[in-house]
Amino acid sequence: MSYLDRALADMRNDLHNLQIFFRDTFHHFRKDVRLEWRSRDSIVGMLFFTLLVLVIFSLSFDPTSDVSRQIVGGILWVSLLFASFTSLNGSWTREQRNRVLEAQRMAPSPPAALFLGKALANLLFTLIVEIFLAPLFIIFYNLHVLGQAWKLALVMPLGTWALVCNGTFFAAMGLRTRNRELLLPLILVPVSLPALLGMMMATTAILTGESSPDLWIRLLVAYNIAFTIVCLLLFDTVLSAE
Amino acid sequence: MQRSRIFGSIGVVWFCLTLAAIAYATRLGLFLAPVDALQGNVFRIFFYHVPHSMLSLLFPYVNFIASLCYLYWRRRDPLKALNADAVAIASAEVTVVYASICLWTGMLWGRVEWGIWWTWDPRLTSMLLLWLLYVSYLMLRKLSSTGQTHTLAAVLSVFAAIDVPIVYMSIQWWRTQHPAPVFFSSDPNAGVDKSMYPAWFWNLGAWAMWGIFLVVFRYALERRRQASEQDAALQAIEASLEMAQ
Amino acid sequence: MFGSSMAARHLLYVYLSVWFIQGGYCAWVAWHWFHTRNPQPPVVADSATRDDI
Repeated sequence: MSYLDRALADMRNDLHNLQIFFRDTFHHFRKDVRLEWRSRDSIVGMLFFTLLVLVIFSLSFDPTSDVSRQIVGGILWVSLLFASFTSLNGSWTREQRNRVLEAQRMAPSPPAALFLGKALANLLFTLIVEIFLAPLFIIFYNLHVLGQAWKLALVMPLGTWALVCNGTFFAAMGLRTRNRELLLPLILVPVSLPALLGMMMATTAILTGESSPDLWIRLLVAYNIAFTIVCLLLFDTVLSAE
Repeated sequence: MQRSRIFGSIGVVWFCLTLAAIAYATRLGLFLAPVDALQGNVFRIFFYHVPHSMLSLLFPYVNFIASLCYLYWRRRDPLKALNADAVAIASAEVTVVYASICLWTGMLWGRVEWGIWWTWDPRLTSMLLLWLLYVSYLMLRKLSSTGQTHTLAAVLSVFAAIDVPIVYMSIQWWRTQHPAPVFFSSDPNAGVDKSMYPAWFWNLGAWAMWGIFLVVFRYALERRRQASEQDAALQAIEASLEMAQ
Repeated sequence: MFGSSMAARHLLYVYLSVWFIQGGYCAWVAWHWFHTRNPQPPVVADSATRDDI
């Protein structure tokens, strides 16, 4: 075969592998969404938890409209962070029932597809929770967005992906540890701190209109790109860590 | 046996030299360096604080490189991988020790100079996050199940190493937007008089020697533990073989 | 000896606590060093160890 033929064959091979990767990702995504839809445990749990935190903060600080614009960014992301701990752990325990995880390890599909499918499913669930929460926040804190509100549509998914991507990865790491529920927050929060800072600062900047959120949005994008790549590359190592 | 005896004697000699260096550096810092014009005697805290903070930024890289080596050798050469893992945990523990000292001495200095224990200034906050990252590394090592510990810890170390520059940049941006009292200006040697240089360099050198000693000592302890475990495992296997006969 | 007493006290705390923390960690490692078994490497079989060859 000539050099050109070999190069073309390699490219076709790579495209084929990529196609398989995305196909498997879609299957895992669909599986997780279907499982979650049957019980809706995670979504309802997260929604209710965040609502409770919202109420508690509202009672403790009783903020005026001005003050709430300053603090709502922080409250929103902190409550979502804490709510996501249980749902992230839960997304992997569903794989442990009936020893499904062993089957996943032995399957010839790329492990990164399992990770990506699950992370995308978790992203979807968290976004659904956020959509339900938005009107509640506006009501409880009498919010009136002073900055460019459309940028929230950028910040919310970017911020959520930062939490969910690393969260799904670390939850997989914690599968066979003792004290699994304790480990996830312990290792997720330090690594996510720059992203958390970015999310909170961007949201506050948009709500108060006092500064530009662009810097923080750029930080979130860079953070997401860096850590998504690292998670995809290292998931195979974590899945077969024994 | 010969090799470990040689290493042992080198270790003892290094330890004695390090103690001497620390004593000399402390004497320089406390008594011989002149009094600072602005701060008075409290600046002498810096002779301990700055070397510890500079070194606490060095050991994480040792941990990172060791973790990468572990991940590379994990399937190709397990014995070398175990070696790399021992280096990784030694440097992580020493990082936490140095970072803790950096934070604590920084707080004491701030208490005297500014009257506050803490402020979210860029350097202190970045150092706190570095400390948190490596404490979480140590917690992961403690809580994970035996077979997986090395691999999971190595993966977390990669995350932590990638995170450190991002943390630093994001905190700088945060503090540019929302300024707060700055404990430590960007150049710690700004306005340092030449007469203080001996004290700086001796302290930096002495604590670097001590850091190297700690890492190597902890590494040796870890290797001993690994050998012990392997020995115990071997004995268990031999015992089970004997029973089968 | 070192000027105002608050500065002097804090200076002392700094130096003492650094020695305490570093010394404490070193002592911890040393304690474990002396309490961990040092397994002897296994004797390698070669013709020198057998006297019937």
